[in-house]
Amino acid sequence: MKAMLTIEDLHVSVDGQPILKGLNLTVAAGEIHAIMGPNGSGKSTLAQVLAGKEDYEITSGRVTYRDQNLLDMLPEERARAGLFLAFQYPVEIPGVNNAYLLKAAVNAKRAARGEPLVDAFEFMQLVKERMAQVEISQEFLHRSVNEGFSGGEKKRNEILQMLMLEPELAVLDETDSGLDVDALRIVAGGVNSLRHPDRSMIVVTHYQRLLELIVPDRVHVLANGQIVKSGDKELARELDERGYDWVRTELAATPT
Amino acid sequence: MAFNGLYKDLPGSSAVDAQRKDAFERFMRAGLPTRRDEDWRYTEISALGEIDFRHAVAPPATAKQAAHHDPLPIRAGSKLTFVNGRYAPESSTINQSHRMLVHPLETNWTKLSDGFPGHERVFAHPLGLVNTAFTQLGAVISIPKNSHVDTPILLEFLQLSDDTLAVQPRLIIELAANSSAEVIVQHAGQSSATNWTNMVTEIHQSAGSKLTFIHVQEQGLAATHTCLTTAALKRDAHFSGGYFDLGGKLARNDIEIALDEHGASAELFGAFLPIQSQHADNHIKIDHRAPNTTSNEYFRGIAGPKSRGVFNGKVIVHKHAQKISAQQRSDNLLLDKTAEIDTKPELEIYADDVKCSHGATVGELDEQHLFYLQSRGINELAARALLTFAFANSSLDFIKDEALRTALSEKIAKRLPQHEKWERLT
Ligand SMILES: Nc1ncnc2c1ncn2[C@@H]1O[C@H](COP(=O)(O)OP(=O)(O)OP(=O)(O)O)[C@@H](O)[C@H]1O
Ligand SMILES: [Mg+2]
Repeated sequence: MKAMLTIEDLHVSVDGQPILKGLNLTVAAGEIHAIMGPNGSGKSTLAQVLAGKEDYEITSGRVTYRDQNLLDMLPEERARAGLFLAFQYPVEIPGVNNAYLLKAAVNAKRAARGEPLVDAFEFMQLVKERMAQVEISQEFLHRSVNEGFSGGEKKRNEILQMLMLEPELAVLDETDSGLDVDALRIVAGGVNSLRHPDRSMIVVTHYQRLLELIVPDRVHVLANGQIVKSGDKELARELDERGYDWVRTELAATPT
Repeated sequence: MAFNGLYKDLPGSSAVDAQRKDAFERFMRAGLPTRRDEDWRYTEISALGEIDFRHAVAPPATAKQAAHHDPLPIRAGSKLTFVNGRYAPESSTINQSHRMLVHPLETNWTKLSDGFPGHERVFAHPLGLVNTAFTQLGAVISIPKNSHVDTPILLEFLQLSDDTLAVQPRLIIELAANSSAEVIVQHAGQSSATNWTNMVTEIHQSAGSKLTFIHVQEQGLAATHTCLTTAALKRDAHFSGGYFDLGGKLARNDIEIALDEHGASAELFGAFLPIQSQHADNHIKIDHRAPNTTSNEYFRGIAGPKSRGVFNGKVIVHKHAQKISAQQRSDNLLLDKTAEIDTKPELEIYADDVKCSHGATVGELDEQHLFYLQSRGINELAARALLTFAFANSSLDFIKDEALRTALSEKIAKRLPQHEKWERLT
């Protein structure tokens, strides 16, 4: 199967402190991968490095996204090439209207692909439809990006952006945290609506209940900067029951 | 002074003439302020004294005027247009219902038979002295008791001449008890001449009156713009003042508000954008002279290469002014290493039961915001431009009139570097 994303022996430090220590991961086109792992293990670091955040020092390794060297690309180039990160903590941007951002994002991608820019009418139609899908009321269009949004509203807003941009590779960093049951169902519905043989997703989560709704093809455990265990959706269930200690003990017992 | 010859054959009443004479003599003794004056430390205007100014010249043909400036697309009830230092009745419209309220000075000096009502402060202020001595255009706006003027009154001052003009408009706004009005003053000009506009607005608000006053300054890049607003508020009166300094080589804004009686309140907000080797200085003084008075200031400054901004906000709480609240925010953005903004809150408090807060920042764009926009495909330059615009734009949140807010927002956008980069996408 065609690879969407290949990460090879990725080492990343922050302020001289190694966080990712030889991470390997391959995601094929059409697949959904879940990444689980203890707090502080490096999941968000991985997500941010994929999106192109500068604060991280990549000390070695390669990341290939659809045959391109991802690490050579600017954050905006990655986005236009179809990569999308739903942030664990979406920032509030006072004064930048949500509608502006959505339209600018859609148009940036279209312009980069030589497609005609979306006009006001087409944009409103699209955005109304997508907002209905994630059950966000239209007044949010005229509010500043994430400003004063509740935790759950911020997460749904990330999903709205994802639905507008229709990325080829979406990385969702704990988009389920802090969501009530209904919002969880809405978010999962949004994600599932994008499932497509040419599209892949990496879902970072602490909770098995999300993976009941977004059924992953693969589940990985990230601990101490590496993928230490991979399996199918059953692994998530097992982690839910037995916790990470079980993985650690198992690893300790395995001779390296 | 090179321009003292302008002090002759000026219009007025005998009381005005007496005030002019006094102001002129005091101005001749004191001269223009220099940087040795504490209030003028950052802003040098004394060189204006060397320039051989004229009061006014004939306006260009009307058609040309329209082509020369960017009007505010608002549904003004009345519009007074002044071109090159003269009232232009042919370009002005006074709404039928405003006939008794809006009086261009040119034909109404009789309204000042007792002289300029003035505040001590106008006569104590160097800019006020100059204006009082030389003014020969402007308007008196008087709103009677219990009247609510529901369409804005717009005054536009256009400098469309290449002559070196010193234009000294005087605006007097009087609101009788429980009246309300909105006044917008726009200064525009494409001229590359070194003209100087020195405006004085005196505001007298009786009990329970409400005034919205918006100042939009977008003069040419060789112009000097100075203006002094003084306002005195009686019981429960409310003043809302927005100040947007976008143009001019040098802009200096002095705003002095006296909250004279119980319950009076003022909010002052605005943005100053010295971007293209410009200089913008705001000096605000709010006197809380009575209990239960409230003030709120919210200003945003953005400075570009070789440009400088100044924000000086002084709040004085007098001895018997208990239970007052005074808030001040001054947030500033530097776009370049050669940009500078000096912001200084000053509090003098002589009462003991007060709520005062102030915050001032000078900084750069937030990297997290930038990354978020980039991660949505917006390139760095466009993202920076959009965030810069957003920063300035939040000063418009106080404006309720949507058409005005949109118009100002567009004017702000156009002043900022690289705005076309994000506008293209939205
Ligand atoms: N900018 C930074 N400066 C200093 N340390 C950092 C920075 N970013 C991440 N770290 C550290 O790197 C480690 C990994 O953080 P990361 O956010 O990737 O964890 P995570 O797996 O996403 O955790 P969680 O499940 O709590 O979200 C943590 O110890 C964190 O403190
Ligand atoms: Mg995390």
